[in-house]
Amino acid sequence: MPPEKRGGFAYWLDPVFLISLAAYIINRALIKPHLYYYSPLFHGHLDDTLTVPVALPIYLFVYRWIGFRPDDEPPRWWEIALHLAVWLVFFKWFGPVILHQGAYDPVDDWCIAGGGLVAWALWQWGRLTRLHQPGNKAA
Amino acid sequence: MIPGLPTLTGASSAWLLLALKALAAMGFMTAANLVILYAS
Repeated sequence: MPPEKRGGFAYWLDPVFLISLAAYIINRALIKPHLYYYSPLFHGHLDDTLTVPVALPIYLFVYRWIGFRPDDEPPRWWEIALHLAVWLVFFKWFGPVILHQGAYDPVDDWCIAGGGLVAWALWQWGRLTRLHQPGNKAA
Repeated sequence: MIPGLPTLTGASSAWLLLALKALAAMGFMTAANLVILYAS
């Protein structure tokens, strides 16, 4: 599997990753410690929604570094779907049931999946808009 | 080359390398998932 330079995904310099990471840090360091009541959004759903845009670029960078990922294309739909499947099983079954760490909430599944869908659309934005330009026969 | 072990051909060594990379990727994924689980 020869490495290719194709694609322009910047991994830890990707703007979607950086903005999502900033939102996660702000929530963890500034918002959560100052809440005096349980907020489902800030204590749970926001972190779940940011799972894909924050974690996936780091995972993909490591795969690229060890030579398992052949190029630098933005995350593909199946890469996101594969990691979503693993994370849902790991964080929502293996963690709570086997390791007794974390809790299962069905809404979390939708938050993780929704965050992944939005992140995928943002990562593929350039390609999606190019495909729908008038006169583009590749569409 | 280790005496007594079969010599890898080019194709099988490429597959072996790919399998090792996949194993490394899965190992990283498991470790990173555990970090996220216990850090969150």
